[in-house]
Amino acid sequence: MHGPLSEIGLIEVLQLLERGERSGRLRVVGPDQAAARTLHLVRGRVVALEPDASDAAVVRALIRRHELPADATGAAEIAPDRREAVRAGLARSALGVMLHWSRGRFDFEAGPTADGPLSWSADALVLDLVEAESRRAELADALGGWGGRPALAPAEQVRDGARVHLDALDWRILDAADGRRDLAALAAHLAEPLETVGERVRELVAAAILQLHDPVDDPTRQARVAIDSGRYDEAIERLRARVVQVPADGEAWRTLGLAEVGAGRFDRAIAAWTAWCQALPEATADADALIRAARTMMEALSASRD
Amino acid sequence: MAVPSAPDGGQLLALRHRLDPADPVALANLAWLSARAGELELAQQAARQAAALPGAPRSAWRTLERLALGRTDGLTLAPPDTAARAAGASRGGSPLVAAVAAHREAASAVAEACYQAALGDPALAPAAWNGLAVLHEQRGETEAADAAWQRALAHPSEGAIHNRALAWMRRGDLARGRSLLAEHADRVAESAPLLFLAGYAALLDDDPAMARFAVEAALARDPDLVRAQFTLGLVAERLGRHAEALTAIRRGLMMSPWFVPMVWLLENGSGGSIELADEAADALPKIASDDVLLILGRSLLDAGHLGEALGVFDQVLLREEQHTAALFHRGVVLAKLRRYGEALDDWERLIEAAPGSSLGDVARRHAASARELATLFAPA
Repeated sequence: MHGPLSEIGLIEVLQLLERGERSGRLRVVGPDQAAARTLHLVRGRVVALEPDASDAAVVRALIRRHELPADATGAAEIAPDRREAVRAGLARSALGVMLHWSRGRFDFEAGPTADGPLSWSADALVLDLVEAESRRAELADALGGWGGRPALAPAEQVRDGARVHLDALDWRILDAADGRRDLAALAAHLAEPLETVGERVRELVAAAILQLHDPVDDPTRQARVAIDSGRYDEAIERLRARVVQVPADGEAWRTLGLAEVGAGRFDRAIAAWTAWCQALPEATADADALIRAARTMMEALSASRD
Repeated sequence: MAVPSAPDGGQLLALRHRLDPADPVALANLAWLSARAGELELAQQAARQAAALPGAPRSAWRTLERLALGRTDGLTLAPPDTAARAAGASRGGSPLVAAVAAHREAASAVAEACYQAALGDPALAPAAWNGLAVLHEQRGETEAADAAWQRALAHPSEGAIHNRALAWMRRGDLARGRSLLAEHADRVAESAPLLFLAGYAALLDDDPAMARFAVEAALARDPDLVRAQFTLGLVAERLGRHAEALTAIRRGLMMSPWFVPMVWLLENGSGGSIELADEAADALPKIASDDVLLILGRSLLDAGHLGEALGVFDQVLLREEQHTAALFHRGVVLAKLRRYGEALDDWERLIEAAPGSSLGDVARRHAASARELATLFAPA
């Protein structure tokens, strides 16, 4: 059983294999062809994911989480339930990305497969991911988006609160919450799910240990939000104002090009990306590719009109 | 508004107010955060406080140890759940295990803090007193060591008896060392390290017959006790039993090329003893490894095993280039092998190193002969 992910998504493949109670190895290649993943299935259930949730990956994750010293080569000193919790988190996070792949291919090879540390059904996985998505949406509302920048509250405020019990993730958040990173960057820095970090930050803010500083006024980020919502003209207005103020802001020029494409004005997009190259010469290759694509599109549309 | 980038001391102190002071995991993690924020004093305080509490996680000891070495890298957080915490403690998170580990690494400040923490647990206290006593003895703090040994010997373990006797011997009081071992004759009879120590003390006290009896008994209990094997060779040599001496020392040399005559026995609560080489064993009346090797070399030389004898004298000279006896005897071996030029080199080095010594005089005579012989064997 094999095929391109553009025709059948990974979740459908997993559901088919689950219904057939198939055992074997499912090799999946996404947009990066050099980074293949292998899912091990026993009677239709995912029992292992390599290399993302292998033993070596678990050790690396525990080191990154400061639960093992940097020179650790094994995780024997960590309790088995903790190791498996970390493994499950790694697998869930990797699968969350893989399920969105629409490029690449899969190849399933049936055969006897040893039991592994996981035991996930495809349906449970989907439910899990849907639940995480809705938690993210709720939290984004509660936190006013992911742009807030957490930092330790002033000493007098921290001191006056009630007794708290903090776990390892809380301590890592306190360590990394520097008032510069926003919530999204904090979650990425900690390599933890956005919704988990968001919930913890909300609790720490409620406990008067952290405070959330307003997002930095970033017109490019605001413009991106507008683009995501289809408000291209609003995005263009913000970005034009930005590049007038800071002509060397390459990211603003790049985003302006995207907004112009969204609005169907390819000639202006090409102009914006040309300015992007001038502001950021190291982006020339990326900009050229986009400019070529915009020209092709412009010519195609022009030919179609003719 | 400006936002601070890392927690400052005031914020960390305020945070400490919010934590349960009886929770070693919370305190250990506060130590971690403080160290990463550069608040090292606060970090050390929190880690010590955590380490003094029952069930302290391994990370508390690790933080203490790293900070004592002036390092802030490699620190870890405590496991996030209680099950893991309990497992961490049972797998070596005890202050005594940490103390012995630090003691073996010569991190004495950390070892002392950890031993002190272990004193709070009645089950660990005797072994902790023993470790503390060794630490004080190594630092030359004899009064503190005596006081600690008194506490350790309230529940006399193999390690406490051994180390106390060894301390007397190091201080030059062989009689008190032997007397202590005699007081605990029942324990001594069942322990290879104690039997060995009794034998070694007897040898130092010029009682080779008793030494032989005790060392052989030690080897009967533990044939792999290398220091007993070497010492048996020394005892046999002292008794004029050269063949036995040769056999024992060669057997010892096969087991390990280095003779470490004295070790401290540390206990970490797991039931056995952990050996710590006594770096200051020079304080003992001199029977050092080089002497053992010299005896072996001479025995091999007398028995005509010239190649092996050469190897043994080479070992001594590798460690001490101007060792006069080794230079002299290697010269003899080389001369017997008709390598007169090299023999001459050794003797000339000896004459230069110890011109007025009796060995120097003999070497001078040998060198004159060797010079003539070297001429005979020189290429035309």
